[in-house]
Amino acid sequence: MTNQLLEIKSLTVKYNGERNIIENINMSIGHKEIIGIVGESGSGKTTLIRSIINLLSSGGKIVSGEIIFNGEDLRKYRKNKWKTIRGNEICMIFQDAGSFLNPIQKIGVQFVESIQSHIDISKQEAIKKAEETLIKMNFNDSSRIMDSYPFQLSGGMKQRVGIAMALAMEPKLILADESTSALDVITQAQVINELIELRNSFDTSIIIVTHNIGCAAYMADRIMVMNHGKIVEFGLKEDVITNPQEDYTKNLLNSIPELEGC
Amino acid sequence: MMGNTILELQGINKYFRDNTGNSFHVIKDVNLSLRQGECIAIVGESGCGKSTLAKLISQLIPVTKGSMFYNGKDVTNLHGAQLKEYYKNVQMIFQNPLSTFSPRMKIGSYMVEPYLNFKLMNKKEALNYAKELLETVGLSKDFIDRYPNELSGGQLQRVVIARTIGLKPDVIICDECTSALDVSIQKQIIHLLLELQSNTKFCNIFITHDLALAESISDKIYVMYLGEIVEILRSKNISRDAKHPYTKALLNAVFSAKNTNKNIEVIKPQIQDYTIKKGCLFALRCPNASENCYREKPCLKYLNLRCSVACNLY
Ligand SMILES: Nc1ncnc2c1ncn2[C@@H]1O[C@H](COP(=O)(O)OP(=O)(O)OP(=O)(O)O)[C@@H](O)[C@H]1O
Ligand SMILES: Nc1ncnc2c1ncn2[C@@H]1O[C@H](COP(=O)(O)OP(=O)(O)OP(=O)(O)O)[C@@H](O)[C@H]1O
Ligand SMILES: [Mg+2]
Ligand SMILES: [Mg+2]
Repeated sequence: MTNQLLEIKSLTVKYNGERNIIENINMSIGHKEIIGIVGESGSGKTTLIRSIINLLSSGGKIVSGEIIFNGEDLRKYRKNKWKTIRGNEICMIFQDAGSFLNPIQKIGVQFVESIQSHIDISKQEAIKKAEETLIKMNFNDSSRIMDSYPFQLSGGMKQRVGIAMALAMEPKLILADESTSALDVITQAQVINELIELRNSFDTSIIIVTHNIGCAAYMADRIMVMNHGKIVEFGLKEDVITNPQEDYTKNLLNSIPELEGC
Repeated sequence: MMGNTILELQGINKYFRDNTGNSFHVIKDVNLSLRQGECIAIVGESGCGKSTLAKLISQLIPVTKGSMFYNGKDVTNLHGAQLKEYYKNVQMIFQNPLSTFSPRMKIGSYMVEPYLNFKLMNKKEALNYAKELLETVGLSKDFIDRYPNELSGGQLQRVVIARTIGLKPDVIICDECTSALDVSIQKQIIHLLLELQSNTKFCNIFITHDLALAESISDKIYVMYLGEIVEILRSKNISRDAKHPYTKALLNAVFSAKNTNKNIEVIKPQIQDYTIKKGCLFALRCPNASENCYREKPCLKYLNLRCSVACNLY
């Protein structure tokens, strides 16, 4: 009946019985589509994408609504069913890149383990795949990275490891939360191009939360603007960027620092 | 407007040991100076050593070689009470806010910790002060009763900024401290920092990936590449004044919200042999490299008022 990959219907989420943090969110994402979510700090962007994969932080609870992925209601999933799709069909790249890495295990070990737990390949093949994916993330010394502990990497390096681990799974849906905020602009452009490439070759859909509106404008098909737990504007990127309807969006666009003489 | 030199780095080097026992040269002969009331920005590739440099300046890790002067005094190897005094004067805001919180410590206890530690006030005063500070960064004072994981990324970042500002240090090192903020809140926070700067004459070292932001707020931009300073720009129009091919490559890769048709160019990474000491570190990726660039190492040269550059073309 529908050709959408993911549909969210009237989603409302709360923490600890306080006010609704996000309220009555309706959105859908098609196959191969990229959506950029921008908006105010604290407006509920992380809450929204964490609720999609059932990983809300402490006290978080979906009050009402439906989340339909590939025709199935994710809210009916049990623990072991989640295991079959999380990190496999749906990958999340967290805002705080370091926190998902095990601090006492080398990157290589973690990466290979994560590949092997989802894809049936030999250790050698998994190592090769991990290194290849790291090179795509602009690393010029992937073997040193594989041999490092998280604390030995810079902020942007950890972020890129996180993206590489998601990319290697070739998932149907990637949820990326501020995933390129710690990257210099060249590395960021390289990483974004790889995400677009993934979409083109594997039909992966991507929801990317970002404060970099230029980045959203570059990669997304549609842009969603959030404020105070609500969608204030959602449309084709050209429309939202060049012809914003809401004052909040206009103000946001006006606050972007731009280079002199560009 | 320009005051005395507050902080000066001379030939600073840092080596780390990797897990195979080899040493890894991360910061290479960095010279840097900071005057009273000045704001400098540091930009550069992910992994080039910006945070390491910040940690060296804040004395959180030891310098391998080189000297550091603070108000004219050698502070390279401080200990005890002097080090504690230095910590109070030179404050660093870390790149990743969540890692600086312990999960079971409420925001209030986190905020008052340094004020109590440095014996600046009693608990009750400190808590009231913390509430005031939260409001200056646009957060509700009720946040003092919350736990870190109950705040969003940008809210945590502002808590850290508020606490640091409250200490009124002489130097604040902001390691990408606005990267988790949306642009309109970023604007408010930057405004707050600049206002403080003009009122209290503190200095600011601002590490950022946002070239436009660096251009608009700083007096000087240091461009780093693989642990070296390759260009210093004293300019409010870096697209015009930048000379180093790496800086130009950075400018070509900036996404623009206004001009979505901008052609984004990416210079590819090259497998780098870190043991090679000859020639320019950027030569392998440089579109203008000549034979000579693989042999001769360029030094930082003063070109004009707006630009000093380390490149064999100049
Ligand atoms: N575990 C929690 N308990 C209580 N409140 C929470 C919790 N997690 C988040 N919140 C609150 O919910 C709101 C939305 O948070 P969320 O992390 O979704 O924001 P965000 O849009 O991702 O912001 P940012 O851009 O700063 O990361 C914030 O006001 C935050 O303080
Ligand atoms: N404790 C450590 N042990 C070994 N190597 C380290 C350590 N800390 C950092 N490094 C290495 O030093 C280099 C510089 O790291 P640093 O964190 O200073 O980079 P950065 O410029 O801040 O990058 P980013 O923009 O990604 O945050 C990296 O190659 C990193 O792997
Ligand atoms: Mg968030
Ligand atoms: Mg860093």
